[in-house]
Amino acid sequence: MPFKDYFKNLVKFPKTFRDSLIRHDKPTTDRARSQTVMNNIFLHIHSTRIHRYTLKKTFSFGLGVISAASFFILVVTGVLLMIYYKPSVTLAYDSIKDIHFIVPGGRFIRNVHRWATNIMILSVFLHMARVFYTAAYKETRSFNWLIGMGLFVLTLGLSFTGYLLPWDQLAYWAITICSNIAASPRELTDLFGMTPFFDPGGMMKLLILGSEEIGQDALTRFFWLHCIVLPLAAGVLLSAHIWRVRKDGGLARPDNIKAKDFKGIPEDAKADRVFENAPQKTYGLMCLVRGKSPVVARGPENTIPSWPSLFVAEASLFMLTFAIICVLAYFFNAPLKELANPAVPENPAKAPWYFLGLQELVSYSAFMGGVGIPTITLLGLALIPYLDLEKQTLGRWFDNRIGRNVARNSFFYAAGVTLGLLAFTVKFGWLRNWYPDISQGVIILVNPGTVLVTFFVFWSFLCMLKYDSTRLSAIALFTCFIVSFIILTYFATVHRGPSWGFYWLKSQWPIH
Amino acid sequence: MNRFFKSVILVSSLVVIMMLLLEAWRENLNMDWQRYQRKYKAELFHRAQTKQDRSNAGDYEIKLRQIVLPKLGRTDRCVTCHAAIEDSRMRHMENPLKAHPGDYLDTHDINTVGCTNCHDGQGRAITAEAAHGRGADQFWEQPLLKGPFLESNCVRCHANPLQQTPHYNYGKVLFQQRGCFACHSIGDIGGVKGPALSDIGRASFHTKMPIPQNRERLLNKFDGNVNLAYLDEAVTEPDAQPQETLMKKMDLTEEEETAILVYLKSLSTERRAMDIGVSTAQTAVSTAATPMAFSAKSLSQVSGGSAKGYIVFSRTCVACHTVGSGDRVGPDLKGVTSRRDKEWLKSFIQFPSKKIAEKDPVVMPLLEKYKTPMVDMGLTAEDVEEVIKYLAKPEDVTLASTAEKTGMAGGSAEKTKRETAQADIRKGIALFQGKQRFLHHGSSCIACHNVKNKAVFKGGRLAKELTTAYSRLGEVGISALLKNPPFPLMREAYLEKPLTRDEISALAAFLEQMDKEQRNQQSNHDASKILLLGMAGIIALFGSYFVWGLNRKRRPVNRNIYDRQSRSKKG
Repeated sequence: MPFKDYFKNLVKFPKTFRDSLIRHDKPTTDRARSQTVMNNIFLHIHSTRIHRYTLKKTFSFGLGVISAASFFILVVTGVLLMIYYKPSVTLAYDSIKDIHFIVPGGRFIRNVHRWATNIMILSVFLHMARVFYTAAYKETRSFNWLIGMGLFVLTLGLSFTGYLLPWDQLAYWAITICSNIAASPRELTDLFGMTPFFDPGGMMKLLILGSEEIGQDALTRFFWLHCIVLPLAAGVLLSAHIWRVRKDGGLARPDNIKAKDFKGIPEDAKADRVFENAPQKTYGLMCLVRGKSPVVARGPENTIPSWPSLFVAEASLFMLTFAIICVLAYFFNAPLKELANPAVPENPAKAPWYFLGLQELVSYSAFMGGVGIPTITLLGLALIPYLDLEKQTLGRWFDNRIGRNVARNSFFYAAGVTLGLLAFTVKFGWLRNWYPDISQGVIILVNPGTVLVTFFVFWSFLCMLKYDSTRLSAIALFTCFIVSFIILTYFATVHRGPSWGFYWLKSQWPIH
Repeated sequence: MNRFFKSVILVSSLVVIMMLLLEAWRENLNMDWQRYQRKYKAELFHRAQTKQDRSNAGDYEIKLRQIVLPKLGRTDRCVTCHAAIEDSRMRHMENPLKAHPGDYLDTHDINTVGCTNCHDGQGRAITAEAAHGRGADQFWEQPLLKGPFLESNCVRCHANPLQQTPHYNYGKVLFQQRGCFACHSIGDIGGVKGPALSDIGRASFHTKMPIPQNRERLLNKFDGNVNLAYLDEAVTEPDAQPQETLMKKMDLTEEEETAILVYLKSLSTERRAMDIGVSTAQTAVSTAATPMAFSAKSLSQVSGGSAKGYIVFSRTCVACHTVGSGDRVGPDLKGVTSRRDKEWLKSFIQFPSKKIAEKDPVVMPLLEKYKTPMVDMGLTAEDVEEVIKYLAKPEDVTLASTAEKTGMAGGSAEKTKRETAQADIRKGIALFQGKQRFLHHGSSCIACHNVKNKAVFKGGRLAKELTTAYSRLGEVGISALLKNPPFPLMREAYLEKPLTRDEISALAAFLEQMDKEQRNQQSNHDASKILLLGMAGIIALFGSYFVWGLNRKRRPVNRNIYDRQSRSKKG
């Protein structure tokens, strides 16, 4: 009777709806847990079972998840900010003020957006270091390292383009610095007197700003990049990045894992057991996944279902990130200075903190610091997995005792060289101070930046000779670059004042 | 392990929820303005006597209030806290619920004038700290003004002197009496030894700030207004920064000090005509701040030799001629009295067109050399006499205000390197293209003139192209020419509608910029760049095809199978 059925169905609606939404049992059995992961488009970015080593806290520190979490937070808050932000030279600044003062939750959302940026940059940087030091870029993962490099560049690009949007002094002059860096190949072309015919620096600057000076064109361009192009690209690359990790069999891990590495990580009692009655029909994936073939008729060793352990861990990292950002956002406002004024230069005009290491190098030579050394560094980083093909154990920090020693020695070496050179430069100046008429070509070739690079390359070759290992020499070089980058960033952030002079404290800055 | 992660989730979630609630509470329940408005509402109830009053009080909503003035680009939310500003019953209340003192609101409608126009402060903010913008810890656009310093904002709208602004008026007089103009300039008037003061009232405190020793004292003195603190330091302790200044310590009474500060605070290049119907007589432009006595160098300041001749020369001739600084549009006039017959000079200067029509043997080669024919300047015979006297002995003329020969007196072009501020250039672009009207409604330049620049529309061809006008005429030439156009058509067009001083300086800045850019642009051929890029692209593309082609398998992968098949078929 249709009428009766109608009411019966109505009563049953909650259950039928739930069944249509979740097409498996409660995730208490292994089968249901696998289905939970497999049948959900969002969860199935992970495999149904993961290796227990993946959950070792001191192995990954959850840095990748923190980066992805901050990206997610940034997308959501960014979309919200877009409702009130007006990308116009005359309106942008006031719209930010309105967001800060009267838009409901505006101040908080803007602050979250700002702090999530900083956390994302920091975690992306550390994540890269983690992947390098645990050799997780080797074997099948080399291309994923490249995708990661792309994401690193996109992260910097996103924060850089976002920096201009408030259209205040801070933004305007930071972008001025950056666009001048883009134009710095002129230093080289000027040297050969070919700037009038071939001007890659000018073209690059024009490409970035869309005009000779920073104005509405630049703002429109940056808005477009910041809100459409770069986030889309980052989203696509991020999916590919995570998908490839899954295809490569999860996080990198060593072949022989000691019991103490598994301390505290849940265990699947059935994983080691021999299956008593094999299922009627099986599908092997051996041909699709590289690596050694699993033992037949036995559960895979040391694996556990992803649900719930992995997802709980990731959710906790996400919430932790969000909580930290919320606390920071409540107490510390995102900066907003006066309206951009091309007639009054900021002094010192500093780029955002994560570019200050570069700006310090730029202060020696715009071309070398702004284009030469970053290009060399990025190229070097990208080539690592293709140049270092040594077979070795993956997934251990610094590989082994020798690796640790090399990293430690390189740390001290790089810190010493960088600090020494900085002290020397501050105290005695550089070539231009001694020989005012010296050709810019010499400065481009010989400046503190290139001297540092030379020192590091030399050290890395020394390590290669001593240990006869490309991996160890790569560790040496990578450590040197990271240490000096951090020191330079710190130095430029804290100790550089007006006219890029040296000051111990900000309170010592002269007023004009 | 899972327990650990779950507890992290729990704690973090609690923290997030707490922070969200805190922010929601801060923003929706804990704002000061809500307290003030509730207090106001209670006060309304307290005073209500009739039923109608009580119902009105009950209707008073606790909400954000604002005055939006799109024409002035202002949004003033001050009335959110100062809720009773128009309620004359609240005169005895404490701030912020006090009614506006005096009868200013009767003449200044709050809905057309707003608050920050007179008081400064940050109109968009809704917390006292941010709205009043005091102190130097954080950046504030315009810190709140108090007491006599409010007078400095009256000139934003009122061009004519006001009786109600005694401090300002006195300051303006003092500025002239004390000879500040000898070293400092406002607009294009005044000396060049000291810094220009055109925009000192709006200086960003990133650049203008009292030295640390004075900072706290002065900030306290001026209620946290950094701009005033700096101005005070600059006036009372001129040697504080920079230490090797030429400026003498002025002997000022307290009253005089306040007056001069009020005047200095009023100086700003953005002082614009605020067309809100406040001032019908005259709209204020930067000339309003400049004393009229100085705008035209009057007889009383120039002495010796032919003072009158100098004045006539500097008003009329200087657009095209110099004395001893080389040719400009017309020839350098140094020693012209010895070269030419006096009678000839007299008749030529008064009616040059006549001489040209007569094809005078002296004029024709000059005309050929300089191309631009001199036009009748409308000088009287007496004027001409004086000018000739002046030209005979230019060095005899002295300027009283500076007691020395400044540029024009000696006939040499004034080498005042005016700071061509970006704002000026932009204003010039707008004026040139007619995007912004001239104050006296003169037609915009683009109707007749053209400038070759990407940023500017193509203009008319009726008159000369002005791309290189700056290098042809120079700063002084352009200003003088625009002040007093010698060309008949242009003279006619702007006779009734003269350009104002700041319009002229904006246009000059604009033309200077155009000239500069034109010189930079000559080598900038985008088209050839594109061709080059395209060629490079083609080479790269074919190159990569070639490289990939090298790696191509020469044989199809199923060739073997095919061969085997065909062999077995044969067999």
